[in-house]
Amino acid sequence: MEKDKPVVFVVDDDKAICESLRLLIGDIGLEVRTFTDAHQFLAGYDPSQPGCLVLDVRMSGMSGLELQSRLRELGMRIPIIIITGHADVPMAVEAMKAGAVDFIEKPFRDQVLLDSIQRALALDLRTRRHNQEQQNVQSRMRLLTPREREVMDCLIAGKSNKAIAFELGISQKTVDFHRANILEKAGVGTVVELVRLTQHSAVHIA
Amino acid sequence: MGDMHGQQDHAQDRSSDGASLDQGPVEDQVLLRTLIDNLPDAIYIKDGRSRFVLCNREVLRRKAVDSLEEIVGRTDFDFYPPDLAQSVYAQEQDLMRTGRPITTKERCVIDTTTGEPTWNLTMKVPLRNAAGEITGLVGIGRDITERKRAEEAYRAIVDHSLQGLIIIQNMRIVFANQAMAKISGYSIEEMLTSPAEVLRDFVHPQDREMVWRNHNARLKGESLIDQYEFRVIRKDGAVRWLQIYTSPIEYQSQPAIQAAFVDTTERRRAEQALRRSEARNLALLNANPDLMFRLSRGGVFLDCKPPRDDAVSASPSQFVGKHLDEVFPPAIARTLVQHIRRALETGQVQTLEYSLPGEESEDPSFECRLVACAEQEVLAIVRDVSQAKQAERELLRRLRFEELITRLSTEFANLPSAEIDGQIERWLARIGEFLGIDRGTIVQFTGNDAMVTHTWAAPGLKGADPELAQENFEWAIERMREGNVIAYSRIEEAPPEAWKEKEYCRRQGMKSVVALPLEAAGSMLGIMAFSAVRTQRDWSDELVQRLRLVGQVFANALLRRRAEQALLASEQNYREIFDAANDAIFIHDPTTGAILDVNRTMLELFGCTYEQALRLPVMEACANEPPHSPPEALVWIRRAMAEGPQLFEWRARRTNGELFWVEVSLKIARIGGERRVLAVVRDISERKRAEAQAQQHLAELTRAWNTNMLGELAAGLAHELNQPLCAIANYSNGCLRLTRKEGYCLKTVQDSIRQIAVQAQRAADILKRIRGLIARREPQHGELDLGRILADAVQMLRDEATKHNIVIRSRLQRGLPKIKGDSVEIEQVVLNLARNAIEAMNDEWIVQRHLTISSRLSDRREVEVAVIDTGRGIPPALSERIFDSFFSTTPHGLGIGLSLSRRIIEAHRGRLWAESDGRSGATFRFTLPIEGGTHGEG
Repeated sequence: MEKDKPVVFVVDDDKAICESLRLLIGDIGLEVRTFTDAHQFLAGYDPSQPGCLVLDVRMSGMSGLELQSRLRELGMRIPIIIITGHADVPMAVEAMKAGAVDFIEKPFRDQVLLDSIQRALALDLRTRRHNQEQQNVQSRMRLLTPREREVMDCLIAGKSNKAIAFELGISQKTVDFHRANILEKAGVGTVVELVRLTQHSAVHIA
Repeated sequence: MGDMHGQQDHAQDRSSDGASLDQGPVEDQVLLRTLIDNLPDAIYIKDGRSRFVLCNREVLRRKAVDSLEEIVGRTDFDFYPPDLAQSVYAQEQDLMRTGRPITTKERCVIDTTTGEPTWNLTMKVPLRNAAGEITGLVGIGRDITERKRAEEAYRAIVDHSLQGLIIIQNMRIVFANQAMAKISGYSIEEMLTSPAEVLRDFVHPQDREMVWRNHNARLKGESLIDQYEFRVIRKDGAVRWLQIYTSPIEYQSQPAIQAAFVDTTERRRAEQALRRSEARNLALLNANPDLMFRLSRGGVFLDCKPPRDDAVSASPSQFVGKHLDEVFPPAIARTLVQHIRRALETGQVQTLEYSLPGEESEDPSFECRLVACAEQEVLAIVRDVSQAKQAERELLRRLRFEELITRLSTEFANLPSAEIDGQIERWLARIGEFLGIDRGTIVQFTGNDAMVTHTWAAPGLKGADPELAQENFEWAIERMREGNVIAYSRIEEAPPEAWKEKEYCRRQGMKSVVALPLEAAGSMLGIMAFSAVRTQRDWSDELVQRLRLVGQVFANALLRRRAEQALLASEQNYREIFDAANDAIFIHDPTTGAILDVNRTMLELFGCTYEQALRLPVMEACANEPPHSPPEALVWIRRAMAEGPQLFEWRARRTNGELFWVEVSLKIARIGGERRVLAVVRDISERKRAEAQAQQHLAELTRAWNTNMLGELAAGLAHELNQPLCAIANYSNGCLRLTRKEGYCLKTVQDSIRQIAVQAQRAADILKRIRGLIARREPQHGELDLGRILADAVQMLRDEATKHNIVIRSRLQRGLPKIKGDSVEIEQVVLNLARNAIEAMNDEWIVQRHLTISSRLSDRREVEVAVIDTGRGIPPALSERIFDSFFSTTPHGLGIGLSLSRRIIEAHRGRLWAESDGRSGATFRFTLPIEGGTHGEG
């Protein structure tokens, strides 16, 4: 199966719901996979698979909310749309706190769910992309030598070449040399870009 | 709505519950509490299983425990011997079932602190919750030991009375005392159990007719001499004469005859002996003339025939030729001359007696018979009758003494207590005079003191010194305690050990003394002593015996007076309690209904003075309109007379016209020997108000519970309903979208539409169920499938249980018979019990969390359902209280779930109860009877 194509996972212990959702969601050309049991879903879920999860709250066995917290514990950040036939405020609050992207009461207008799914998929895509970027930055940063990291820290802190040379006890020329290497390894042209990259990806060089 | 399983709940919660219902100020509660704690009565509350829930300080004192905690949850089995505890328990459980108040008989229990027997009078009334169900009882125990002692003493007097006493009812003896047993020779037991013939045979055959005629006449109320003598035959066959005094009485509310007997056989014997002695003397005289004279008409001795043995006088011949004047004292001579004339004139024998002054104490007596023997001559036959005369006199004296004692004993038997002292003094004088004694004294012991309480002295003599030092009589008292009589005709004869006594007698100038113990009911009350001051005298055994009898009469009278005084004191004590009672108390005349007595609380409650209260007509003390008017009051009184104590609520009126609610406990009691109506009236206006509020509260809560319950069910069902609706919506939307495109798959659309139909049907089914729940107001007693209900309930509870980490297990017996009932109500009960169970396991420290729902066919043709949890458990003290309305152990509990559940089950003729060891979980069980079982019970 093609990894890049998002999949909409549906977990609801009511088979009729699963099937009707498959029809509905399948209609907009998305791949749908249904599960009538939370455990079954957990067992077969691959975190690297992009997609979103449409989850019923009230299920026998593991409930929707339990599955949600379980996924969080496992560090799986698939966007979750909660659907429930019996919504109350505490339950909604709990679900949203736990990171659900939406909370939809059954029965729902088809468009509401489909829009929500689209948003969830977009979010998932963004997240994955962001994660990818972060990973890229991190791998680039790993190319820096220890001295280069020291110099970079000073650069990010906005210190001048002169100050860096004085602080690190090296010549200004050497600072210039390090700076060129750092910019090259990070794949940026200017120090300003470097600062944005490191701050955006919250990379802190340990 | 978990309303069970409290653990730190203390009995005092109840009082705080009460306080919240009660609008009264807190000070009132404190005041009431203080009052209750300081009452001499033991007041306590027990729960449905006879366990102590609350009590006042007096109970703690009697049970010898220090704090309420030691008593709460315990039962009488912890304090009384098993037999007693069991019987009390049985009585109390009976009260729980029937609601009838208990007034226990006077009961003797051993005081745990002193080890002494105490007498208790206990009253117990049911305690009801707002729904009118009996949830426990209130008991009031009164210590009547003091009164009982006085009564016992009184009883002992009757038992020890010299007079035989019996009560005859319907030809049977229903009461007899000790003296009667002594007189008749039958034991009291025998008398009480013997058939009527024995009573008849007891009377001598010759007197039988007269006795029964009298008895029947008396029963009919005819006036009759109430005192006559007849003979009886003792058990040993001896014939005795009894003098009977009878009076009609009411004994145990039935007419009866009380008969008092005095054994007069001795007196009769004395009389007969006297008559016999007279006859014998006559015979002797006729057979044995002693001395004969011939006397002239003028009284001159003409001739003389000496007696056969010349022992009486000197030579009779010396009289010849002398005139009577010269021989006899003038008075005798004159009488003799008169008799001579009469004998000559009438020709009939003239008899006269005379005594001549002699040297001995008793003057010689002579009898002289004069017979005309010639024209102017009479023959005088003179005989010395001194000895015969003396014997006769002695007999006469004995007879008179017997008579005196009979009179004494009958007079004292019916003597009012107030006259006892005066009569003792009078009789002391009579006896002293009769016996020719100089001084009579009665000394009584009171504690360590001895006091002269009655004294008499012959005219001109000083009475006994009232001051007595008991240590001067140790020797005498010791002897008398052993039952001896001390009698010395000369004080000097007393042994040397008695030197103190001798010294005392010498100081008092006593020459001879007799002292005997005054004993009654087995204890020595004092001493009766007689003494001679002027001359010495003898105390014959017979006299001592008679004096003993006198002493016994006095002793009994004195004891009776003491007992009556004690009773009086006890009554005063009672009056204080009567006045101190928290309830108003009325004593009514049962026939007229008039108020005879009221206590202080009544005056406060009704706002009147004592004098006003005694004149208060019933119509002014009540609302005076049905059902709270005098005719209804009369109905209650009649009911109390016919059926025993009555408890009812009544609308009373204060003298200022204000109406208020009271609770009346009506009882027929014997007060001061009279039948009276005793009404204990309690102001319950506060309670009424609280009850009204509670009713309203209950109604509101019931509604809340119902809606809440429905809300819960609806929530569960809404989820189910939403599922098919959601599916339908999805399918139809999906179809719409699908068909917008060209070349869609027709089969998919068809399948979806088929699914829509299926889901619509599913929704319709669910709706039907919901409608069944909501539309139902009247219980529908159709056939219900308990197995299905339980399975559904388990299903519905699964989520909730999972949320709380609880494992639900169902142990349902298959193929249970069908039951008639309302399935929704039963389902509500199951859900309620299960939710309580879940709530009870919702404590962090409870690791094992199992909820088991089981059902089985019990052997009693019932289906039994159990809901078992592994939660906190229920403290034993609360196992019944949890079924009370408004009782809840959880902060959010409404406190009506269990009570409603129980009501539902009971409406189905089943039972609902809780079982718990108070630690590891609880089990709630209910049973439902199987309808149309094999035995076809309706």
